[in-house]
Amino acid sequence: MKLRLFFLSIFLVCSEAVFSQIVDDTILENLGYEAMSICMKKGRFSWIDSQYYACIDSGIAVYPFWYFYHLKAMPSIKMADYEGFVRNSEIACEKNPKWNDYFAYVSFYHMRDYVLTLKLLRKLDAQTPNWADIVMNDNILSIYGLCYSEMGKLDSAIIFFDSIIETKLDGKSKFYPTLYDYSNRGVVHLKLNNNLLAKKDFESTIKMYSQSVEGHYYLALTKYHLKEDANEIETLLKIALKSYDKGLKNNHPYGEYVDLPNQIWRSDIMNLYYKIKGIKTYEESTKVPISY
Amino acid sequence: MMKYYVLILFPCFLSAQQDFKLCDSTNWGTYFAKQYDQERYKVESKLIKEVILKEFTYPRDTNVTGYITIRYFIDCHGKSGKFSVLQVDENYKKTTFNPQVVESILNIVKRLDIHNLRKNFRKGKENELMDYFSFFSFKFKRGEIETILP
Repeated sequence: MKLRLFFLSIFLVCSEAVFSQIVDDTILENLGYEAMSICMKKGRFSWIDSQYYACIDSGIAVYPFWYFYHLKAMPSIKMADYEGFVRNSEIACEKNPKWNDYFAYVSFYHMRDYVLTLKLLRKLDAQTPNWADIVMNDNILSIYGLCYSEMGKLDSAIIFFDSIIETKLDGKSKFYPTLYDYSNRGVVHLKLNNNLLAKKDFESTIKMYSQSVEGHYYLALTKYHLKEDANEIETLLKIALKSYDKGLKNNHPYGEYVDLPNQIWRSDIMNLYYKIKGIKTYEESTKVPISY
Repeated sequence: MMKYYVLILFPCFLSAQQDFKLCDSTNWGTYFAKQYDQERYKVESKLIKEVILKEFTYPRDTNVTGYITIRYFIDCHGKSGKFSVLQVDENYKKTTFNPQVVESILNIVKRLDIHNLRKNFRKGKENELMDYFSFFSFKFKRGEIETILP
């Protein structure tokens, strides 16, 4: 009998660890839906009918049904559950294609799925022709340009950035062109070896935002390519570094969970600095802790 | 007697694989909070990705096209555990890739010691450290790693 009890107690101790793991995994799956669960906890969440649900918090807010799936899709992608993201987005899209296509293409862009991003952009554009839709104050033309740029279709990318900068979207939005439209076009010019055009774009970026990391770093890089004054390049890099350390680099509001495809890093700034100083580039990657 | 051994050994075997425990399984954060952007890892993620690619001597399998994601937690002591794998094909449907490829990635991610400790963001608990969630997604195209997220 004692032996049986002994075995049983060992079994229970060991099982506890296993079951707590299962419970934690379930939490991982479900807690991702944080935004939704705020409503659901303590009965502050209720269905009204098949079209709407209510979130009762410090009052009553009524949301359309599709928004529920949008809320489910949002944390799914941030938790890297791509299947869940697509499944929930598709349901939400059936109800409100415009909003959800917008969210979806931004997400697929950050997932580096440029083919699908472009497909969604074309679909969205067909629904609202002539670029009439500057949805959520975000310009889909710049995502077009960025996709083509990442796909290596640089001439196409230039066309889209030009259409924002040169036409200023015919005054459809006071927010465009942004400094990033200039810096993104500048990067494409840089890739195409159009250094003088790139220089002009980065100067415009700095004119719009005197602390721009992108503007200062890329202007320094362009001047380096053009073999311009090393002291000037050094000054630009120092400003870029200072701004970088202040956290002023470009961050897409919907992409905070991933690195931007064309992101600048501190090591990029430092490596260029070492280059102009004639110091051998430091192998930063040796500093990454990994066990063997 | 044999049945007791089976009863004991099975969960003990599993628990030995899963000795990682969160400090607080009901309250954890995510790696991506914007205010921590520059403190996400001990070194910048560009360098981490370079090291992962360098370390990755995986079996070439041209059937692998899609995303392999390794999700895990970092506990309040900075230790990582609770690794789980998600696999989707290029159409974002659940799938199962070559286990050798998955295993190879998982081993690299497990060996990385890159995470900073995370302060609790909740009011009144600012001085405490908290567990948090993180992941690495590998976008594959015909067996080659095209990009690494986040």
